[in-house]
Amino acid sequence: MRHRTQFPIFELRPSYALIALGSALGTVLAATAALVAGSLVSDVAAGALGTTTAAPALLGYLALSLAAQLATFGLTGWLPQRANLRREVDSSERAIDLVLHMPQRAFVRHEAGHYLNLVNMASFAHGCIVVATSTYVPGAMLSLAAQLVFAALVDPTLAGVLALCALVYVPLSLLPSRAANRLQTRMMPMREAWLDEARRLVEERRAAVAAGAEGFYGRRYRERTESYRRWRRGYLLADTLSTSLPTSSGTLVQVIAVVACALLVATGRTGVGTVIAAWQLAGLLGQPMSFLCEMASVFAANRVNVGLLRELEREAAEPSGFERLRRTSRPCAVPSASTEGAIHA
Amino acid sequence: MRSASLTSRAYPVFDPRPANLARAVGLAAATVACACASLAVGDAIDALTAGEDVGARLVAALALAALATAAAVLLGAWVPRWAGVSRAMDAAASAARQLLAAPSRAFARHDKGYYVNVLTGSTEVYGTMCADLNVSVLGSGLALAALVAIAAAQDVLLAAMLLAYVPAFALALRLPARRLARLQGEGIPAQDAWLGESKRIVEEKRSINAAAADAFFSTRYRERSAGYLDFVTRYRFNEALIDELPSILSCVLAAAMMAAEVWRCATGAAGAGQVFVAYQIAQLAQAPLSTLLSKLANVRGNRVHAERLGELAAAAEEPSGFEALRRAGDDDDVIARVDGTLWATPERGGEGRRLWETHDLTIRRGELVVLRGANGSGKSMLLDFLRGLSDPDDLDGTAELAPELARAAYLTYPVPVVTGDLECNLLGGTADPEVARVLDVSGFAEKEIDGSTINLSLGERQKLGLLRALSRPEPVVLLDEPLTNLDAATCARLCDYLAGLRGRRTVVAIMHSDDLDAAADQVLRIEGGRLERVR
Repeated sequence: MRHRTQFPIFELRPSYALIALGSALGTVLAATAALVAGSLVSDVAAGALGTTTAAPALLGYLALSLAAQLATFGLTGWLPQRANLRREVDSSERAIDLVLHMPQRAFVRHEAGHYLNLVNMASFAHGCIVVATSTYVPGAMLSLAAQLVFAALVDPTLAGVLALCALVYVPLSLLPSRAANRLQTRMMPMREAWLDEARRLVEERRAAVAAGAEGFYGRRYRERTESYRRWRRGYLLADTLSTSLPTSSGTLVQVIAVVACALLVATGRTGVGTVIAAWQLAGLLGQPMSFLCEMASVFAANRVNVGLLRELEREAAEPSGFERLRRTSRPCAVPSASTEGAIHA
Repeated sequence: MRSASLTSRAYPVFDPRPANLARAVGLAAATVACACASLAVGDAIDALTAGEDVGARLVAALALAALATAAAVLLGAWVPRWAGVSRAMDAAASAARQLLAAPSRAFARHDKGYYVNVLTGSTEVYGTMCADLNVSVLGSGLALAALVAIAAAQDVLLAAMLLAYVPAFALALRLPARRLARLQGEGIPAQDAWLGESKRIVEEKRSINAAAADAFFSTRYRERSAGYLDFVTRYRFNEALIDELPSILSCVLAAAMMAAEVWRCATGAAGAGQVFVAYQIAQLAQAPLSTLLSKLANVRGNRVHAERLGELAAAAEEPSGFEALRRAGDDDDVIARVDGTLWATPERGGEGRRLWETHDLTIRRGELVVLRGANGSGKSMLLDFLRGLSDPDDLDGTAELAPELARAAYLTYPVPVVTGDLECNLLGGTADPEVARVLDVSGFAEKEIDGSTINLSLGERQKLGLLRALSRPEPVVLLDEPLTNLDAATCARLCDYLAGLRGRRTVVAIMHSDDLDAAADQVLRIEGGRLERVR
């Protein structure tokens, strides 16, 4: 029978489903506000908005955009983040229980820094992945679908343009995320060595000073730090590209959408208002698309952590090796323990 | 206050060096490029409304947008992040140096989890704070100034609105920012307790399992986790509020700026493109404004980390307190003279633990001194005191310590082991061939040492510690139970070797056997709270 892991990458919970729906609602409100802003500009361009009629329209826009921003803060931002924090700590608690329960012969395979990394960093990375796949991704997909529906309501061609724009985000994110993932996997041993050296420095400080080995310890820590710094530089560049490119390319995608719609306007198929709507909705594409692309990079970059936690789970489930030595019953006359043979290190 | 002044000197958070100024200008340039792209689109909209050809304008907008994207990624995101990481790594190296340099009494002020957190956590936060303040905050300020200038070029009223918005916005953020700063200070102990607990469990797993205390420690970890989660949830909420408040308030600014341009359009003073540009400037202002204020709040909230580093730097500069005791006495032949009562810590009364009292304990150059006593009687504390690895305030009385005691070779516990060969495990020293022969370390020659009990027995570890201590050329040698875990043959050779050092080096050895008594110049005993010479 297949063992059910304590460290899944997706969890189906009602609370997570509600968070995903709430996240989409925030985007729907923002899309509505964006369309209202677009229609305002469109009306101005058409000369349909005078100094007296503009006030109610602007107040309506203000109320709608305020509601959208509050929903974005509460539903799209804070609730998933809170779920994330809870899941991170939950993973850490599961990991510490596994460390406590694992047999000694499995435990000695790694240094203390490895386990500290698991119960702190890796557990947090796992919590982050679970919440990303279970709330952020469904929420972002719902948001994306809602925006395309809105665009289609304005002009079906606009929906097509936006769908193409959304696709632009995919290579922008996936290519650097692969590099980030590769670099992070290779950087992990340097990070562990650095953390381990810090721990060693603190633990053995008194003995190091007593042995007059301050220089040795200081030099070793500097070497570990430099090695970690070199790897971090490359990783950080790839990570910045994978996390920032989707959001930073928002203006570029908006301009692409405007260019496409301007061609439609030039051919007389639509009005200037569509250009504004295209700009606004293309701007909103960034959030769900960056969630989705970020998810790919978050998953790729942190997959190694999930692997480490599952390895911990396997090692914790290993038999201690003493089971066959423990008798279920023993005669009273024999001693509690007897040994015969050779002990090897 | 001493720590505060040193914080600014050793770990300055504000650091306006040219490199940081250049990074800040780069960050502002990213926003300006984005604004230029928006201006080009606004211009294209006006041209579209007027029925003019927009091809060239759209190409310009596309080129500017591509430039803005590249600038935002590299100058706006990568450069500040790398500046922070680089600074954090520098800080970690400095903190490690200071940790080693700090006197023992300063080190004893905090537990080990605290120092691990300082080395790995506080340095990271400090690096981020420096990048936040010197690159992000400064760059965002410049970006805002540039946006005000662009707005003024469009319509002076827009610039005035933007300028009025900044202080109003800052005022609105004051409350969550203050709460964030307070929470950060309050939450650090919860974070330390949680990290410390995980460290304790990992390091003491064997003992915990042996004591069948798994459930106890699991429950304790959950309690610490709950405390940490409570703190981090409240902290992150305020952080998120600070992050999002700009967007929420920007709605008001965008509506006001659009209203101004709609009015101008209605009077024929501007085109629809101007309304779009007004909207865009209001939107573009949010990122630098938000960054500026949230990063400032982060800097304020995380000040405790810089203070911790400053405290460590101050500790490294503190005198050990033993300087006053290390002076040449009247008698050049005396290496140490102690008269008084030794306590386990500087605390007295109910808080303190009295170890022993002695009257005129005198150790002369070249003597072999044996120190005996029950476990926990304070023998190791005497060696620590002689070596200067404790607090001089532990002693109620007088002491004179020869300067060479401060560098005495000292075998103490735990004996540190690093992964590598024997040479590496001499921690920068070299093995004395005579000592290596006495200890019979031939088994180490081809050995790759990794510090595990499988790889290195307790006896081998003890030999390693002895090899390090006895190979050092210092005239004074302090040995804490040198025969522990050694086989009988090695014990005998070692005792002969130590006896042979008489007259050449001063040796003070803690013993639980009488193996060295015959060769010793003095035998001291701690019994019934008194340290006395018994031979």
